[in-house]
Amino acid sequence: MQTCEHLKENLTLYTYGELDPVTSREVENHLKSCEGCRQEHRRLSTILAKVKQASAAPQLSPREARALASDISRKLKAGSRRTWWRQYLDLTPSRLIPAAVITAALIIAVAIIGYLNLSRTTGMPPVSMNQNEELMLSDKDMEILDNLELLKEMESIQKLSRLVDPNGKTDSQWDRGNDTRGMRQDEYRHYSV
Amino acid sequence: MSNEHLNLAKQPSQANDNPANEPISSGPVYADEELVRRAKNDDPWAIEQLVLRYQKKAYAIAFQMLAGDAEEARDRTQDAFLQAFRRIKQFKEKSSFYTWLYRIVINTCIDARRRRRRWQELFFPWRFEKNKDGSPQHSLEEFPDTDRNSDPLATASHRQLKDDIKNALNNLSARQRTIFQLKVLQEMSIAEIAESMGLAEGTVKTHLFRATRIVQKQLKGWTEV
Repeated sequence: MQTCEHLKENLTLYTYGELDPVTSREVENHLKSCEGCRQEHRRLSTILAKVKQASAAPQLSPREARALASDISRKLKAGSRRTWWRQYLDLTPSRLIPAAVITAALIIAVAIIGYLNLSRTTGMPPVSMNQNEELMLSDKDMEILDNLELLKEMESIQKLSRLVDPNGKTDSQWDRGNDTRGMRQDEYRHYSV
Repeated sequence: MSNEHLNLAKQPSQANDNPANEPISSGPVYADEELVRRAKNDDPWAIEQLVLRYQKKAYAIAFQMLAGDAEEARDRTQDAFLQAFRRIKQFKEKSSFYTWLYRIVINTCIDARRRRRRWQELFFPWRFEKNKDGSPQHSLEEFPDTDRNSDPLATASHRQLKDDIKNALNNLSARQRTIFQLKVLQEMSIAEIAESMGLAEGTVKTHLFRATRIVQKQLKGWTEV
């Protein structure tokens, strides 16, 4: 005897008592006239009853039930008596994740603020640039430096000549007579008379 | 025809946990809503009443989902209650307390089952051979005989039936098995199962239908006994 395929799902739901009253009545009317579906319904009911009977969970005895209830109460009380610092140390994911996010955000914020402040307040080139200062000098700068050396030499010569000839001309006199530079002393005397 | 209707029709789950059936409960019987309101104010009496009212059902669900491991079922039931009461202030009361609680029990058991499976896969990989399609093959050790010790006088036929049921359940996916067990063994309605498992009712119906077909096919030989 064949079951009506299109009714299989409704027949299963009817067996479970999960159909609305209207559909349930329709299935009941169909079962009255269809031997195949009636047998299918009976077979399914038998199997489900056997499964239920064979797989029943053992009941908790009153003693076990009381023990379970008191264990739960005791653990709940113990949990609520925890000191504040232990509660804060409770590293559950619900606390760890926001804490990690806040810490990361703080580190990033401090790094950004620190970097901005550093670059604004110092205005100095980094140390590494100082080390290469010489490389950064242009040819013109180098020329000035060379002339500086020459000026120093000239100054030394002037001091030396003052020592040799303390009654000689002052620097300003020397300056006025620029064209006498490079003459021998006797030539100079002759020229200055 | 209605007299042939199975006693699997929708029954309020609360009826099975009526505190009046509890020999250890005395005094006035409060509605769940009142007990929940008091529990939110840390009233230990209300918490105890809710535990006494629902622990048997919670334990039965855990026992079925954990393949008859009584000790683990007790531990997971305790975990679920502790979790529920630690989070009771977050319970918005959009659903009934017991569906909310059963959801916690189911999730606790799913986590426990997953953990146990991982450990077993790690230490006993040969028990988890793959099917041809690559899906993991369930090991029979996952579903031990539930009352091998408590029912020594069981007939050979009864034992055979239990083995066949065990094999039939092993052929279901984890979700199908849970839905089938909640429906057939815990007599929860499809709406309650959907709420407890966070699924749509249509999804639960489809899984239940498929699971029923598979179990019926596997146990075909038992229909005339």
